[in-house]
Amino acid sequence: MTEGKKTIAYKDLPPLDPDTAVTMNEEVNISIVLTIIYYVFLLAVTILNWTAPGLMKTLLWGGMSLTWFATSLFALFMAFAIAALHVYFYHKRFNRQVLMQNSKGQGV
Amino acid sequence: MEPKYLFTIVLLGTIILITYATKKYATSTVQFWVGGRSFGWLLNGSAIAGDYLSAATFLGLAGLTFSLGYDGLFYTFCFSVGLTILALFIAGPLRKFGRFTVPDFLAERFHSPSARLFAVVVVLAISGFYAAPQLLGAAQILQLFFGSSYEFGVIFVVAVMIIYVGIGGMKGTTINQALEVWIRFTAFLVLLGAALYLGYHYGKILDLITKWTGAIPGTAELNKGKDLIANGAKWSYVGGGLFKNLAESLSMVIGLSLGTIGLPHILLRFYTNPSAKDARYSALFAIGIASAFFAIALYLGTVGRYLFLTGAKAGTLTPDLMKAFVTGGQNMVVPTVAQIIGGKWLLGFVIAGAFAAVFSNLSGLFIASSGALGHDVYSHFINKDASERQRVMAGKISVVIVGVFYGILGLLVKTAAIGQLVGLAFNVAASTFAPVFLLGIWWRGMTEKGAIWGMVVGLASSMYMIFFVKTLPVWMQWRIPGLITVPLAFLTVYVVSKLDGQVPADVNDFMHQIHQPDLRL
Repeated sequence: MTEGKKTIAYKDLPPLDPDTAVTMNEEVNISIVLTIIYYVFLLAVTILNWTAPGLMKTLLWGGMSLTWFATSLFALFMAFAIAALHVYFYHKRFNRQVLMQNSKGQGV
Repeated sequence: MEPKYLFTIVLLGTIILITYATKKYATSTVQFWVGGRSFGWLLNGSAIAGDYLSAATFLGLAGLTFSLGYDGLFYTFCFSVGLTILALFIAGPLRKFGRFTVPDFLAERFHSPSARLFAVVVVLAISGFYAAPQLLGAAQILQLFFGSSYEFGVIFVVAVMIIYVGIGGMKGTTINQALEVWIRFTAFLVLLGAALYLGYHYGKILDLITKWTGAIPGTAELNKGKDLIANGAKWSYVGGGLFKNLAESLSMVIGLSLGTIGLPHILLRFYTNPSAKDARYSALFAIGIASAFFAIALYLGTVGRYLFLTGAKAGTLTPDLMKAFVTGGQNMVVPTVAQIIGGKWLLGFVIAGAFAAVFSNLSGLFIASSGALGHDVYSHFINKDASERQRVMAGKISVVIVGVFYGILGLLVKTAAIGQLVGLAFNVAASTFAPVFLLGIWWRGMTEKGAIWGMVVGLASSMYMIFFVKTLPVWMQWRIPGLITVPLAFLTVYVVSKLDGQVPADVNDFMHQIHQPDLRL
C-alpha cells in the first residue's frame, strides 16, 4: 500500500468479506469477554480497598491479608491466565480454520 | 577482584561479543530494523520482557514496597496489566501488518504522511520521557556501586548503547536483551530460593511487619537524631503514601494498564516474529516472565523490610547495612537483601543484573526512536529513493543522533523525579497510541483526522495534567491522570471520525490483511 489518499464516506463502505468479518468478530468477542473479566477483578480490588477495608484486611494466613494476596499474587497469576486463555481460544479457532481449509482443498 | 567488578566486566564482555558476532546481520533494512523477522517466541518473548522490565522494575518496585508497603504493591499491580491487554487486542494483528516501525501503522492505515509525521513526534516524546529516567537511574546505580560521577554514568551508558544498537541492529539487540532478562531473572530466583530456604515465609514476615508500631532502634544517627517510626497497619494497606483517594487509584489503573499498549519499543517487537502465531506466543511468554518477576520483586521488598526491622531490633545490622536501608534510597533494597542473604558474591550478581536491566530497556528505546528517524523521517521524507545501503546507514546515524538526544535529556533530568517522568511516558502512550491502535485495528470507521486529533488531545492533556498539576483542583492532582486523558483521547478519535466520515477507500483490504487467518503451521 502506498501513501496516496483515496477516501470514501463510511456509510458507503461495502461490508467486509465474510471470512474476515467472522474472524474479527470471533476474536474481538473473546478478547472483550476476557478483558471484562480481568477489569472487573482489577477494579473490584481497587474500589473495595477504599469502600470495604474490613473485608480487604481479612487475614488469610499469618499477616497475609486478602488485598495483599489479590494484588501481589493472584493478579499476577490472572495476567498470565487471561493471556493463556486467549491463546487457547486462538488455537481452537486456528485448528478449525486449518480443518476447513483442508476440507475445501479436498473438495476441489 | 571484587565480585561486583567481575560480574559487570563479564556482562559487558558478553554484550560486546554478541554485538560483534551479529554485526554481519545488520546489513539490510529488514535485518537492521526487525531482525529478518526470524525470532521465535522464546527469544522474542524474552526480549519483550527485557524491554518491559527496566532497572526501575528490577530495583525500584521492591524498594517501593519496602518503604511504602501496600501502595508500592498497588503501583506494580497497575504495571502488570498492560502486556495482557496488548496480547489480547494488538499482538497478532500487528504482526500480520508486518512493517518496520510504529508510525508505519498509522501512515499505511490512512495513506497519510501527516499521520506518519505526527506519530514520529509521539514516538520521540514517549521514548524521550521514558529514556531520561532510565538514564537517571543508570547513572545513580553507577554512582552507588562504583562511585562514578553522574555525568560519567550518563555518557558511559549512552556510549555502550550506541555501540550495542548501532552495530548489532535488531538481531544483536534482541539476543542481548534475552540474555540480560535471564540474568536478572536468575538473580531474582536465587534470592527467592535463598530467602525461602532461610525461613522468610510470606505470611510470617508480613505478620511481624504489620504488627510493628513504634520506633526502629538504631536509626537515630542517620535520621537527624530521632529514631524512624514504623506504622505496620498503615504500611500494609492502601493510603500509605502514594494515593490520596479512590479516583487517584482508578486513574493509575487506567493510565498504567493502557500505557503499555502504546509503548513504541514494545509494539515494534511484534514485527520481528515470523508469524502472528509466534507473536501471540511471544506475548504470552513475556507475560509469564514479567508476572513471576513482579511477584518476586514484591516479595523481596517485604523481605527487605523484615530484615531491616528484625536486624535493627536485634542490633545485628552493620553500620553499612543500616545506612543502606535508611538513606540508600529505593534502589538499594534488593542489593542490600542480596548482601545479607548471600554476601558479596550474590551482591555482585545482583549489580550485574541491574546493569542488564538498564541496557535491555534502553536498547529497545534506542531501536524505536532511531527507527522513527532513520526509517520514517529519512526514507519517507528526506530521501524517498534511498538505496538499501543508504537506508541502513541512515539507521546507524539515527542511533548516534538518538544517543546524543537521550544523553542531553539524561544530563538535564539529574534532579527530576523518576516516577513523574515514567508516569508521563505511560500516560502519553495510553492517551495517544493506545486509542489509535485499538480503534485502528478493530474499527473501520476511524478516520485520519480522528486519529491525529485523538493523539493531539491525548498528548496535550497528558502534558498539561502532569506538568501543571498544581493548577488543578486538589482532588484531581493525580500522579497518573489516565482517568481523564485516556477517555478524552478515545472520545476525540470517535467524535472527530464520526464528524469527518471519510475513511480510506481500501480500509476493507487493510482489515483483511491484518485479520485474515494465518494458516502457516
